[in-house]
Amino acid sequence: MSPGSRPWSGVQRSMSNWAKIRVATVFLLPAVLSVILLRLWPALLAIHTSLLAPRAISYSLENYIYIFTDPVFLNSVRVTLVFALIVNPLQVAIALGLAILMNNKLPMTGLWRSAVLLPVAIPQSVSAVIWAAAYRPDGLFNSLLQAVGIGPQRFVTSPDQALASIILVVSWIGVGYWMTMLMAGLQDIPKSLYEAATIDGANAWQRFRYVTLPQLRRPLTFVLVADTVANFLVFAPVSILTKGGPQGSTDLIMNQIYTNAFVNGDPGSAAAATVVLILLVLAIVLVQFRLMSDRSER
Amino acid sequence: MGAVSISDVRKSYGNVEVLHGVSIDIEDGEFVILVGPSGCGKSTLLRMIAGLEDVTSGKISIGGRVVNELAPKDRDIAMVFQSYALYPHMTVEQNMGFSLMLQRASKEDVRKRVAAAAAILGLQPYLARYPRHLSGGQRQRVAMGRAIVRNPAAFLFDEPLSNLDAKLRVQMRSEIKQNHQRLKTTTVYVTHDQIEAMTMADRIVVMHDGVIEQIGTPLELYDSPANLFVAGFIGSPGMNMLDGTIADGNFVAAGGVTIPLPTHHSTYIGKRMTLGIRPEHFRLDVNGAVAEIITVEPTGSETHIVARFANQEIVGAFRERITASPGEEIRISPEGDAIHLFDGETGKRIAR
Repeated sequence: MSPGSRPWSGVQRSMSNWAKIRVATVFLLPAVLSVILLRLWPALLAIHTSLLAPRAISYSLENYIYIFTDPVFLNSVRVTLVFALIVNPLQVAIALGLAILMNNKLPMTGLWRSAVLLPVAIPQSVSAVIWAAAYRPDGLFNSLLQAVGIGPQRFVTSPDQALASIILVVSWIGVGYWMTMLMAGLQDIPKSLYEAATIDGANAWQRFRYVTLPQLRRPLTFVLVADTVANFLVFAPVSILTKGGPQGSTDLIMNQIYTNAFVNGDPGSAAAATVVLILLVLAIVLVQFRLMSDRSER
Repeated sequence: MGAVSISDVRKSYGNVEVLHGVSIDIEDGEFVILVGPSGCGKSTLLRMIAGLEDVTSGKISIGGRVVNELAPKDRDIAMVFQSYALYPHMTVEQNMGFSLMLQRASKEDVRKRVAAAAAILGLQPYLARYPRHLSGGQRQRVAMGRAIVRNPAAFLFDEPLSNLDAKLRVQMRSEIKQNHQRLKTTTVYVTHDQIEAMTMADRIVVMHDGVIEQIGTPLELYDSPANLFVAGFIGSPGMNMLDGTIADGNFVAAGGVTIPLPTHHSTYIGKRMTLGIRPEHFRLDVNGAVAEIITVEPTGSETHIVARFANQEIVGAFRERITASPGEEIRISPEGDAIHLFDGETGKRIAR
C-alpha cells in the first residue's frame, strides 16, 4: 500500500508501538477478562481443590487415588464412554441425514426445519420434564406402544433402557442445532462438482461418498468435536430423569461430579473428577482432529 | 462415432419457453461453437446435450443414438465446466482417473490412460498435486484431461476460458484447437466471446433469445451475416450500421450522405433500409463524404478512428497511420463491394 492511500495510514504511522498495544489491550480487555474470570480462574480453582485432600493443608494426589479406586466413579467413566461412543456418531449421522433431506427441495422445508430446530430453543430442563412425563408407565410412549400391540416398557426405570432413553432425549434436543451447521456446509458445495461427478458416472451414493463427504469435512469436524464436548457435559436430563440410576446405568461423569460435590459433600473428589473429565475430553477431541485432517490441505 | 444431432429442441421452465425449437447437425469430428449474448440459451442447450437439463420437446442424438432419456454417464460425453469443477480433495491424477475408477477399470489401465492424457496436455509434473496448488491455466488443462481420459464421443465445453486472464485465454484457445486437431473428437463449445468463436470453430452457431440466428463457418458469418443481429455480433470493432433509403442506385443515409450501391435494388426503392459496413472497409478518399474525427486510436498495425459520419458515430480501421486531432475532418468512402444491405423492417440480409 502506498503511503497516504488510506486516511488511516497516517494515524497508524504516527502511533508508537506502545500506543498500538494500549489500544489493542483496551479492545481485548473485556474478552480477556471474561476468559480469565469465567474459564481460567474456575479451572485453576478446580485443580487447586482437586489437589487438597479432605482437611489437608498441602497438595497431594490423594483425591485422584481415591476416585480411581472408587467403583462408583469408575462406573461413571465407563457409562460416560459408552454413552459418548453411541450418542456422538448417532447424532452426527442423524444431523447429516436431516441436513441432506432438508437441503433437497422438500415441500414445506421451512416447517420441517423449524420443527427439528425447535428443541434447541427449549431449556434442557423443560425438555427433560416433558420427556419424563412421556416416559411414565402410563405416559405417551407406552400408550403409543400399546396402540401397536407392544406391552408397556419401563424406559428410565429399567437399567437396560435408561441410558438409551437418555440418549434419545439428548439427541432430540441436539440434532437440530448440528443439522443447521451441516446445512450451511452443504450449501457451500458448488453445484458444478455434483454435475461433473454425474457426468463422470457417479451414482447418488458415489456423489455422496466422493463429493459431499469430503467437501463437508470442515463443518463435520466442527460438529463432531463440538457435539462430543457438549455430550460429555450432559447433566440436566440425567439429573431430572434418572439421577444417575437405576443401578448407576445412567451415571454420567457430570452427574457423578455433582453428586460428589453437592450431595456427598466431597468437593475435592468432585474437582479431581472434573480434571479427569477435561483430560478425557481433550484426548478424544485431539484424536478426532487427527482423524478428520486432510492430506490435501498440508 | 460422435455426430451430434439436435432437432427442433425446445426447453421451458414452467410456462416460460427459453429455447424455441433449435436444430443443429454436427458432424463427427467437427468443432462447433455456440455463441450469443448471455441469456440466449446456449448454455441451456449444452446442458441438455450433456443430460444435466431435461429436454422439453424435440430430439437429441449422439452417435446416431437418441439420448433424450439417457443419464449423463450413458451419453458417452465429457464436459469441461467454466469453474473447472475439479474435485478439490483429489490429486490431479485422481481427478483425471475418477470416471475410470467409477467404471472399475484396473489400476494399471487408469494409470496408463491418465498418463497418456497428461502427456498430451503437459501435465506429467503435476499429477501428484492438488487443484489448489495449480494456476488457472493448469486447472483448465486438468479439466480437459479429465475429459480426454474418458475418450468420449463428444466433448462439451461450457465457457471454459472465462475465468482466465486475457493472455492465458489466447494461449489456451490455441491449445484447445491443437488438441482438437490431434484428437478429432466432436466438440460443442459454448462462449459469449465472438473472437473465441471466430478463431476456434469449424462452424459457429449464433444464438439470440432462444433461437438460432445463423449457422456457418466463421468467414461465412463474417462475410455474409444473415441479419442485423449476426452482423452486429460478429466482428470487433463491430459493423457500422447506417439507416437510410435507396434512390437511383444509391443508398441515401441521414444527412444526405449518398453511398453508391454495386447492384441495383429496384424493389427496395423508397423503403427503409440499413446499410452495414465493417470498419476495415472504409478507405480514405478525397472524393468521399466528410467525417468529423471524435477519437483516434492507434493499435500499431491499424489506426481506429471514431468519427461522426452521416449524423452517426462510426468506427473505421485504416492500415494507414493517421495522425489527426479530434474535430478535424477527413473524407472517407465505403468499399462498394463490401457493403451489406439489410431490410429495415425485418433486419434480414438482402443479397448484394
